[in-house]
Amino acid sequence: MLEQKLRRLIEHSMRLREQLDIRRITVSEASNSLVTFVTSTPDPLLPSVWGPVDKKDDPFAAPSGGCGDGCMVL
Amino acid sequence: MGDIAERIAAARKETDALKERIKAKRDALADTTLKSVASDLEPLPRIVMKVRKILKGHLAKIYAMHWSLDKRHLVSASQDGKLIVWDSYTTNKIHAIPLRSSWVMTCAYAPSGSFAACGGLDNICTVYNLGSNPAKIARELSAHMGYLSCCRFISDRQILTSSGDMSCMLWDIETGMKTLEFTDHTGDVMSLSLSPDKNMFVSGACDATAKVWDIRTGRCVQTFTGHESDINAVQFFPSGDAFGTGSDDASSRLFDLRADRELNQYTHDNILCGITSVAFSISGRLLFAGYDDFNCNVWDTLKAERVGVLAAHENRVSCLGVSSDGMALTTGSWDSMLKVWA
Repeated sequence: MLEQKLRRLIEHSMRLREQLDIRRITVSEASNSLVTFVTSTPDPLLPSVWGPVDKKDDPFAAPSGGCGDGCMVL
Repeated sequence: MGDIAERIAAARKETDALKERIKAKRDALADTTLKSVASDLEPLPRIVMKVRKILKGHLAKIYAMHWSLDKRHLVSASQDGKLIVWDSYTTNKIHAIPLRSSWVMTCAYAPSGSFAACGGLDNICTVYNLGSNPAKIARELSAHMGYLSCCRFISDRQILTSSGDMSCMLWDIETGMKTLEFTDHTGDVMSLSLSPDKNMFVSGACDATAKVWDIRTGRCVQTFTGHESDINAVQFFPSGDAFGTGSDDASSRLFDLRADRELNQYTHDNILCGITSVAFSISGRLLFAGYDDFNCNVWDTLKAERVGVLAAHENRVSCLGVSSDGMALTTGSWDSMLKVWA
């Protein structure tokens, strides 16, 4: 039981050592990168930023009025 | 006996020292905060999204949903023992698959649209072929020793699963065999999310950590701490450079892979309940989080401000997802309904 515990701690140590040496960037670099991605990717859920979605492109748009869209009464 | 006790104490000292050194390295790179960098951006107006479709049909709590990449279909799983494939444009049910075990906790849609999978307290990930009607079982993937909490297809051939047995597994669906096991968590793994380039995935667990794994080698490449309780949901940020989490500690957080640290926290003094599910809008600017208090809060990912509340369920929001074209958000609830918002 104790040997298992020791083994696990040693493995944990090894993984922490690997993590110690990974390449990291600064918070400013990471943040700027995220901001650049966000501000350059059009988003239909943000009409205030990217403009309203065209009704003809919106699959969830309510029908434009009455049954003028060619729907049939069965 | 005394020797082992000494060695354990020494190993503990070593891990503590290593953790301190890692923290020091991270802190040395903290030259600003994401909130500061984002302060120049125009604040978002209050987000107004309306329910466009209601998907009714399940007879009990919905536990999971997943959009198809075709932006139109989605699959949902409920403890009424059914897996339903919906056409979200018409609200029609394409498949209503009776499950062998009704204790389902997760479901997934394959990128090709040809398969769906689900699993739960049966510890098995069952893959269904949607090519026939009724859909047939293609494979039952059995090896986990605990409940199946999440599953995600990499392709028609490979699927990733996470489990209450504290591990994740990669499977070959054709042979039905486990290809790789990902073990490092010390608590039930609750959720996983595949990176956009499919080379990595992130997992969130009841040990309050999120881990990033290399799918090719099976190794845990990064571990993120900070949460104070179970992490129930993880989701990659659309660029693949960061991921969002939701936890029982009532906070959602953003962790960046390249900075190797937490960049933002989404929380409020009057939010006291756990988060069940998280998803990003297609640009990543919005973070949707589903809560135990029946609401879905909408956060500005960069400024960490709440910009909207979607209150339309009569019970816990258990799952949510944004379609691949970013047009709509679907929320699923214990009130047995799915709502599509845009």
